Amino acid sequence: MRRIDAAIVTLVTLVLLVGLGAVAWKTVERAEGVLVPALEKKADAVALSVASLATEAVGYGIPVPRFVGAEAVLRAALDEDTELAFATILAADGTVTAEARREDDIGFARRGEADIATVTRAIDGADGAVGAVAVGIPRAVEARVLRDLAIDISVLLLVAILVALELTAFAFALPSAARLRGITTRLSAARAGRFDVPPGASDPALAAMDRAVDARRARLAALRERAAGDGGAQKALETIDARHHLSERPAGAVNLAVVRAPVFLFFFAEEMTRPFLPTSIASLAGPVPGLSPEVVIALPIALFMAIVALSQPFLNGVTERAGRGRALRIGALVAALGYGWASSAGSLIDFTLARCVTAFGFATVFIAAQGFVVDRTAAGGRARGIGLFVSAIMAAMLCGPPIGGIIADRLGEATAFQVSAVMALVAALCAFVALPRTEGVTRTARGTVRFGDLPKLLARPAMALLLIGTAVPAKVLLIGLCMYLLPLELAKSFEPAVIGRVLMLYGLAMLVTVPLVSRLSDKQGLRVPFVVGGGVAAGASVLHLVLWPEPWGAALMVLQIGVAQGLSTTPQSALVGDLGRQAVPDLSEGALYGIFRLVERLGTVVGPLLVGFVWTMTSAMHAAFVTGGLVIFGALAFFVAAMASGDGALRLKSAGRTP
Amino acid sequence: MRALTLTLFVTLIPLIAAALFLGAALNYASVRATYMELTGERLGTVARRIAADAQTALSLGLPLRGQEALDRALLREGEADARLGTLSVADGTGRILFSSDPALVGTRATAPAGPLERVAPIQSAFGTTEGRVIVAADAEALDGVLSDLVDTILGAAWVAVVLGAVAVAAGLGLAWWRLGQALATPKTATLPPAFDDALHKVDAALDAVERDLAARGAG
Repeated sequence: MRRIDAAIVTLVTLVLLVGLGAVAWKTVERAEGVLVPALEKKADAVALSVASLATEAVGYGIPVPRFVGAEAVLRAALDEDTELAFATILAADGTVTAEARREDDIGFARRGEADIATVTRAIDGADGAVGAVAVGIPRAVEARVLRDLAIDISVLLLVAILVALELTAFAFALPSAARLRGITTRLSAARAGRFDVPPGASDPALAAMDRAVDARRARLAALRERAAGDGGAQKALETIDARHHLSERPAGAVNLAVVRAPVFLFFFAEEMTRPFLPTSIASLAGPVPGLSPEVVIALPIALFMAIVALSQPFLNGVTERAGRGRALRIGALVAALGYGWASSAGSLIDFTLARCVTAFGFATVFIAAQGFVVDRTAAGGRARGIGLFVSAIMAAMLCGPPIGGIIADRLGEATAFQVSAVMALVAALCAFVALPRTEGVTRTARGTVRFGDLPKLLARPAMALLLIGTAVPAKVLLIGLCMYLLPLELAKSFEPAVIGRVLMLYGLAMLVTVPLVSRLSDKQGLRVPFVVGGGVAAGASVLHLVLWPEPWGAALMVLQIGVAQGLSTTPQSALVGDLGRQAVPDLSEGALYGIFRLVERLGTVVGPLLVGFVWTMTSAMHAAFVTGGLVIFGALAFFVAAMASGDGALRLKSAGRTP
Repeated sequence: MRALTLTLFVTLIPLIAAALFLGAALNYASVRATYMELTGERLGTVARRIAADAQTALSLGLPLRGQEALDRALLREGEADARLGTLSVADGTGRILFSSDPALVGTRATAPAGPLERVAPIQSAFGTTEGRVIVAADAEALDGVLSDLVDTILGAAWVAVVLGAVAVAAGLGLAWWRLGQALATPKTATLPPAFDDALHKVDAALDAVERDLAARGAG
């Protein structure tokens, strides 16, 4: 199966590489005919400008060879337009009387005369031309276009390949692929000499293979009976069983992969808006009495996050009653409506209402998809199921911002919102195809979130500081700094495409770090060091803003936040489980994690407002440092509380269990 | 398997088409942005040149309103470059005093006159802004230049999508054909050969144990 997946994705990659390469080649070829004349016209405009000045001087009676300060004028022309290679003033006999040349640039020095277009304009005297101004400009059209295109196309290719991977996995997860999935799983296992594959339902081909294995199982069992009392034979049979895994017969696994593609595509749609959302709001925001522009811009973001956070407990029951699949489809359609509305919003109120509609859709999809996984997994397999769900979101965080930035940059923010709407519709379509229309799942015991349980949990200092000191500031940093302040600050000097590439680093770092750390922290019992270390590293990342020029400082900061939060996220969840069970033993795991997510999400609401407020009072840089300081302080406070508690689960090296 | 092949085809072709058309749109947008940038720089140079002429006249004591020569200068500049739409000179209040389009004289310069516009201030010797030069590109001329480019890129994208669809269809067909060869279904044989081989190894191992047991007289 994996070989088939890989072959299909390789084929799609090759098709995209060749296709995008061919389109780019035709573009560059055709662009030359458009841009070379434009370049020459630009040089001509400069030549004409200098020539008219020179003509004026000649009109005052100054001969061309006696111009004073001519080289300064030519140098100023070169400084004003960094693409020009040289500018010269020639006397009537063709001798150069003044010249400015960009010789400090190696690229220009290496270029031959054939690569430079020279445009000449006459300096007129009373009796005709008395000299000329010549301006040279390199015909570096291909390099110029390719430079702009190369990064865009690379990002597009990377995202298309990741989407192809998701969609191929999705196609293989559909019921129509059950037979192929079953046969290839059996063949892959058999090639490794193993037969521990779940039974293959009612498909005749799979049943034939399973019957053949069952016959060997029966023969093994019969031989074991015959070998009773014969140590040597029993040992030989054990060896055969261990080698071929004949006795092991895992139960049929629930196919959760069908929910992954809709989740990926839906979150992709929302992540696409990250690089330009704050600037979109800023472009619509007018003065609001009593509020600074920064806080006004933060309000719609905070409102979106508040709807998502506060509707969580309520939507869990609603999506369960409506059916998770149906709720996911409806949520995606509602969000698509919101994106479409946002694309045509003409005022801040209009835009904010559109974002509220999207927020309801977003919250519904999130809760429905999470519920779909939880409903179909027992406690033992839930971590794997949730991992599947979370990795889809991380992949979307990697793909969405760069492509959203490029689309907003090249085609406009309204188009980017429209593309988000289409993505949400495609997510709804995938959910319609793959998720059950009617649901008859067996409910596993889960609790609902009760706000009354919160004080009991927060009564323990270590638990309170874990939630309020580490989980909330982490979200303040992510949403307040990375998704609100950074896009606004970078937009002053950079295009949304650059901002998108900066923000994608968070998803990339998380996608790599989280799986590594979740294994390591559980194996080594290093939860407290990972949570504290991750918090301190995330908070300290703001230093990059003063250490490096933009956009590198921002890029390194986002990357470090991604790595640091990748370090702390999984151990933090595990510690919530450990401490929560001790603090409120009668609280179910579902209710415990519901409260944790609710408190954590409050950080996403507070983040933009807090950062916006500090920014108003001081400056953007101060706001970044205050946020970073808050994260470090929270992590260290939790560390002190953890060490003071003497709790086994909070030792520097504890033997915890995976939640 | 036919259903899976169809599902994959229906899933992957829109993805390939979307990626290629988005790539084509980005290609076009990139060239358009470069072209607009170059044209904008040219408009800026023209605007600054006219503004410099007006400033020289101002410094000689000729008020902006009285610089009748600007009318000719604007017409001359407009005729020299077909891509220039309108060239206007406005006073400090924004009222247009001179323009290559006579209909604009006396109106207020507020909204941009075209898709691309550059403005250069006209300043007196004392640093006060006396007016501005507004140079706008001709929208039709710009579209005309870029329309051929759109056709070329769109054509290339369509060809790439069609060839890509054929390649994916061929690839999927080949994959299933090879898979069909590798997997013998119950209609043609009992089990796929690779699976059968693995079972034979188990049989051989069990046979050996059975022979041992028989030799020792067990059972």
